[in-house]
Amino acid sequence: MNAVYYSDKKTDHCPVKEFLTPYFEAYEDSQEHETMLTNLFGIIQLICERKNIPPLGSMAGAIQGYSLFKIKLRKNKNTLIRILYFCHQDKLILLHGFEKPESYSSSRDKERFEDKQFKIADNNRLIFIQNSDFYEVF
Amino acid sequence: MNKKTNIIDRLKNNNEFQEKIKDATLRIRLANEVNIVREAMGISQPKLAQLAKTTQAIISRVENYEVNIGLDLLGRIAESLNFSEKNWSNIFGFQINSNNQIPAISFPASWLNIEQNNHSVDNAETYAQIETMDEPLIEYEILSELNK
Repeated sequence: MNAVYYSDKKTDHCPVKEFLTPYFEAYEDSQEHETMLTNLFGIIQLICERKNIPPLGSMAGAIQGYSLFKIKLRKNKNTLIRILYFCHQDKLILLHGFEKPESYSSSRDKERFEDKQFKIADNNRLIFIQNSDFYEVF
Repeated sequence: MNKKTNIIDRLKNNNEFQEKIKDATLRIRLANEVNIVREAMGISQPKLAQLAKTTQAIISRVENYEVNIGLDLLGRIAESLNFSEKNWSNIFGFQINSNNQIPAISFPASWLNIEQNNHSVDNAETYAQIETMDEPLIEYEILSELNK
């Protein structure tokens, strides 16, 4: 299984690559960015090797109610990172990435925020299924 | 997008970055194995910490691939979780065969100064003396030899 970025060729929009670019840019200056990126590459390597077959411990898991999975990373003490993906024809497609706070003011806020992100990723998933060349090598 | 792509490609081709990914991957494999086996055994993190003579915070950091632990602690965690060859193969990425054994590997006999008849290991220092592989290869079952 190979990891690829979902990339919308019509809009030249590659959401996860765009999300990760600031981390790559700050890689040499920031220990937390370095750790986050090396962990991300390591987790993706493990998921690909195991063909996304659970259990994958605490680092990745399915999202209830969606045909999506999430990679769970920590940026720092207060911020978590989620990279959403799905698997299709021997490809792991990275659909969307976002930062989320460690805690929310209410559980309703948390649900609303995360559900919005899941919907974005799911929309990208549906576009990819219709356009199987909409990807870039990870 | 081109500038962004260049930054990402440059880093992906950076040897130091690749080395760090390798290190991270090993920590992640260990974290995954400890987490899965611990939960399958129904052991809490504090209980595992007690069995492995460490703290719950350390176990948590191991499972969150945040810490590079020493051999002593690794051994105690593995013993507490009854790690098998399969668990070690999942961590270190080597293959095991259908008999649950690590398969024989091939390398020059002189690497270990092996006497072909009795397969005894006479001189580990010969590891460093071999600079070429232009010699016949022999099959050698590492684990069976080490377990003698």
